[in-house]
Amino acid sequence: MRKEKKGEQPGRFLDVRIPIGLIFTLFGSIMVVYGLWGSKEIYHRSLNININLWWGLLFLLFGGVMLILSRRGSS
Amino acid sequence: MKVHVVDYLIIAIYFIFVLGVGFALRKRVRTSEDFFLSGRSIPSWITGLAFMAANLGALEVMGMVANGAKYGMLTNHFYWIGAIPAMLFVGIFMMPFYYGSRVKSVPEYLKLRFNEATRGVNAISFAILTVLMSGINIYAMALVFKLMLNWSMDMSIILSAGVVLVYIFFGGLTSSIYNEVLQFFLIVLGLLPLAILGLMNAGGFSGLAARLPEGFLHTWSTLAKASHNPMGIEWMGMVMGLGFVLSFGYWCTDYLVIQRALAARDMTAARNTPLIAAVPKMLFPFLVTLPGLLAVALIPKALEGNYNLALPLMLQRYYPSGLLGVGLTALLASFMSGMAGNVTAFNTVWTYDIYQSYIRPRATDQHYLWMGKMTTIVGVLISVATAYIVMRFSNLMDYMQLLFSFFNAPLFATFLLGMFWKRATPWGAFSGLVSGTLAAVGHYLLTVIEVLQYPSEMAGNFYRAIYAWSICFGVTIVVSFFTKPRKEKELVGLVYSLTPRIRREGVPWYKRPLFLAIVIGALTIILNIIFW
Repeated sequence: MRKEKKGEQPGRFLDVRIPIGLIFTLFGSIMVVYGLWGSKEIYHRSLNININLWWGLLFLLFGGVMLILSRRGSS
Repeated sequence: MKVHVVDYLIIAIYFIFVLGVGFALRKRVRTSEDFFLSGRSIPSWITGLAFMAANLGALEVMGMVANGAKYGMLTNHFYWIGAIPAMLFVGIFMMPFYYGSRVKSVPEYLKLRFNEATRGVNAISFAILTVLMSGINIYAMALVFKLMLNWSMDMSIILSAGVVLVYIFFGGLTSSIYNEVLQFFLIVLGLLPLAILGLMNAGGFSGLAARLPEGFLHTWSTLAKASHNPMGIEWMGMVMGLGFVLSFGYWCTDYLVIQRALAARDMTAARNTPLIAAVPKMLFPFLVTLPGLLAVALIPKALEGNYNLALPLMLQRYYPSGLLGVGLTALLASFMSGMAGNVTAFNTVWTYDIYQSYIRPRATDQHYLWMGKMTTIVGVLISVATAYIVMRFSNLMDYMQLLFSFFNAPLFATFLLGMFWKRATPWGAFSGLVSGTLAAVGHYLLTVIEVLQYPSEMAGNFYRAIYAWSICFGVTIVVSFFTKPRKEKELVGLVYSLTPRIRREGVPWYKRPLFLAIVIGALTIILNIIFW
């Protein structure tokens, strides 16, 4: 059950986890897509690790956790 | 340096989010208290991370990586001795007075505890300090963007200042705090791969140690004599100058950070704010000192004489496109959170402590809200102007510690006496504060004409802070004995001995400030022993 407090009381707490979750999900998706389909030559810099793919997955995980927590928090 | 479309895309998305947060919050800002103090409604984990991130400006991130490359693990003292003890102290002992007295700003506390004159001196010097600081953030950011993206200096300055202006203008402190939390996660997760990739390339910790000069991996063992370490300081100067005066002066009295705690929703949340911030602060050396050390070990040629650029050079070396965009966004985030922290503190002190007190008292709340917004614009414009002034200085780090030793070091003596000695009088505090600041200026002039000499600028800053503090402390005590103190009943809630202790906090033991402080203190001691 979600309690929607409408009428936006001034100064009331807006959940900061939503923008954090969204931006990390978005960044993560971009990095994963770029890691899978982008040029592979660029990874000699990162010791031949496809860092975009792996770090992108981590971003997705973190963003997802934030979004789930924000859902929980508002119920 | 190749920056691809994907990197620009990531940077653009970040800008959109930052502006979006400010815009989404605009309807929640109705009164001046909403704008300046977020209506005192924010949970402690958010204010805690913002407390930490407001201090994550250009100095913190780029400067500490540079220090890591230059001084090695001595840099960790800026965290473990130069921040954690003071953060625990402000949470446990000082926050009850700041939050409990319902003041809106640090200068306002000085007015309640002492008098109008003491507040005036502090408000004006703080306003000057903050705009000078925020100019440094803009300048450092423009420097990085010029180096990495080839943007012109003017364009970088205008873009970054413009974005900060918009989000504070609409959302006030709440917007600044929310963006600081977002920025905190971006900085940590955006820079962590650098330490990981660097360590892998160096062959782990032992591989790193083998490539570093002697003593670079120690924090205390080289401090017996000033000549034994690159910073030119011995343990006494380190502990008293940095660990006591400069650190307590900054964390306990600088309104930039205190303001975040005042936005918390209740007393326990306010007291926990600096304690929660202390946890990431304790671990930050692994994010900043370590890349500096890695730069010495891995890219010594590029680093030659370029310590200030150690971080961007490491990003260039190890980050491929994609992650590079995230790394640049992390840098951008650090500059913007540093600048926004300064601007929100500036507009509050100006509006409450200067405008409302001396220029136009008794106006409507809407008028002060309007004034806060206008001050935001003016504050950003002055920051841009100082960015162009700062451009003329070659060494930013020394310049900043210099400012701290002028303003924050004597102020801490005033607060210590004000909060813990009820006999301290209004004019005692005023004369102590003024003479402490003048002593710092005098000491600086003596080092400029080389009557006083120190092995490094940093050592000079530490000792200047000690002198300024001691003179403020001494003068305040002496003058207090000859002048009239305030009545005890006026000081309830402002002085330790006259304020009832907080007995029951209504929270479980593991959320209580004292418990958190003990755990954090113990962990910090363990870290010091490991990297002795």
